[in-house]
Amino acid sequence: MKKAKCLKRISALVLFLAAMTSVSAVSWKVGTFLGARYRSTSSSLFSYGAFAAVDDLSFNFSAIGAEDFAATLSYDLKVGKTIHNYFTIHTDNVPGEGGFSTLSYLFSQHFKSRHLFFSYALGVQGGISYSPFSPPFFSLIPAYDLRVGFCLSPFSLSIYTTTAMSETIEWKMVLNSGLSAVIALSEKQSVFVDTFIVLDNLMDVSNYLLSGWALRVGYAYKGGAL
Amino acid sequence: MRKHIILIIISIVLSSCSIVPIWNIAKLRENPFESAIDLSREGHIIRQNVKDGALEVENIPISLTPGSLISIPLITDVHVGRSDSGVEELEYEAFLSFLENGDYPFLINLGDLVDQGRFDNSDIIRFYSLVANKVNGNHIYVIGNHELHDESPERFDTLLSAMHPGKETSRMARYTFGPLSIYKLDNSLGAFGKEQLEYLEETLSKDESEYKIFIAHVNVATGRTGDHSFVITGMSDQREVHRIMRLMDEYGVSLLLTGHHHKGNIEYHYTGSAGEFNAASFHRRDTLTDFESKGYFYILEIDTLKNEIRIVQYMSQSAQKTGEVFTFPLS
Repeated sequence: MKKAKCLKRISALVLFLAAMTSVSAVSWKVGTFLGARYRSTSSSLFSYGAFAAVDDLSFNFSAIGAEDFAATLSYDLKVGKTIHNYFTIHTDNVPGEGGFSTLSYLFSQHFKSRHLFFSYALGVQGGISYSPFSPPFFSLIPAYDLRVGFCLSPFSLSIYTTTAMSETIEWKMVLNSGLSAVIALSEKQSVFVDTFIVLDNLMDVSNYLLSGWALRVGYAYKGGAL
Repeated sequence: MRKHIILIIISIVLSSCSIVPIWNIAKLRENPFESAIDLSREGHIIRQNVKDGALEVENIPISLTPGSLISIPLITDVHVGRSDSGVEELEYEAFLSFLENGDYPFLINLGDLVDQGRFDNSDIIRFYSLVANKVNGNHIYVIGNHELHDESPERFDTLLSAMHPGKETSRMARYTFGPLSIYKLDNSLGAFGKEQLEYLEETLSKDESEYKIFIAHVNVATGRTGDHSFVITGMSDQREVHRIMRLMDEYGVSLLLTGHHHKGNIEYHYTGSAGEFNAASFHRRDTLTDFESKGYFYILEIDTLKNEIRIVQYMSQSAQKTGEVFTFPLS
């Protein structure tokens, strides 16, 4: 009886160590954010979310009150030093009214000098929308991401314009532009502040519509092989 | 260097246009749909004059009795004054004769009557008034994106201000004609906005009209049966689109009429009892691409005996029937 108990404990420890070892061989990151997000169809401004990443696979969840939920799964296929290929599945839902899901591919390049960084991404997004009140509809639009910033440890600041962030994926093309500041508290922990505006009606050229905005603060923790 | 060029290009583009906050779309003191305009009792005589930006209008009482079949002419995207490549000369004499012979109670114009905001083109006032005076002065004019080009939405409000004195805006309104309630909506900036959606739902919840339709400029549902709005045109916020669909289903709105897309002639059947018809442009453009129209207008037949809406298509230049009829249930 005592031997069996001892063997069980040793097995459990071995499994735990194996798990820790395998986790420490990959890099991973988890985080959360709180803030405000304006949408014309939401009565709430309160937004919140969480994110996690293991190596090149990342997951992001965000919500506005109890009215609007979004989730994104993205894989980054890296080639060489600068090339990234992003494959992203996104879904968005307003309970009781419907939602939409998208699949996108973006080709991207990242450049970094001592304190400056720049990246661009161009691609395509296909969408399907569903609702209890209609059959499905489809869309096909260009997707993009453009970022420029500087980094002076422990602080980094970037400005960006994108359709590829989880909270900014839309049915037709819009222009989301924002600012992100990150402070590294330690090698593993950081806090960030992020804000963006949403410009719609781009096809019109003459009159853009400021259709939304967001401001959030968050925390991230990374581990494994840093 | 490359990133500097990109930032400069973005700055130039952004600085060459105006940015309107969505919460300004329906920044109003009162609900614009609350008090309905009775098209069977209120008529107008429209002069071909504009004074201080407002059409000169004489408001006159009329007395119309809606029958079991309500026939309404429907036009969109006339773009008076458009002259770029391939655009055919605007001809509407046959259309005016058609209206003259038809005894129609009012007409629906889904917007983009002007081109690039050029309200000062006297041909616009001429077209508007000549058409209006064939339909008891009730030329219901939806605001389109071209009405905003280089202008503020207040310019549109001022133009039509004499039609309904005391109304805070001409961009959003509710009209009644017997058992029919028509909601004129403003999505000229590609969205309805929170305030307009809330005003709309508040009024719909109290509207006891037997039949209801929505009219707006920008196409709402997009991407069925291979239509071109799959990629271009249409609203970006799919949540607003679903909100409109829910309102139509919940409050018995049979039909949403839209324009903007030009190619048009697209039927979207949402549920069994609600749908959207995207109309083709009145103006004609000869082009190699398939994004434009040969020029059409329609007669909307609301048949309360057969419980159906038929949208009968005509060529805008000749006023001849094409044989095409689009049918929606009347809920």
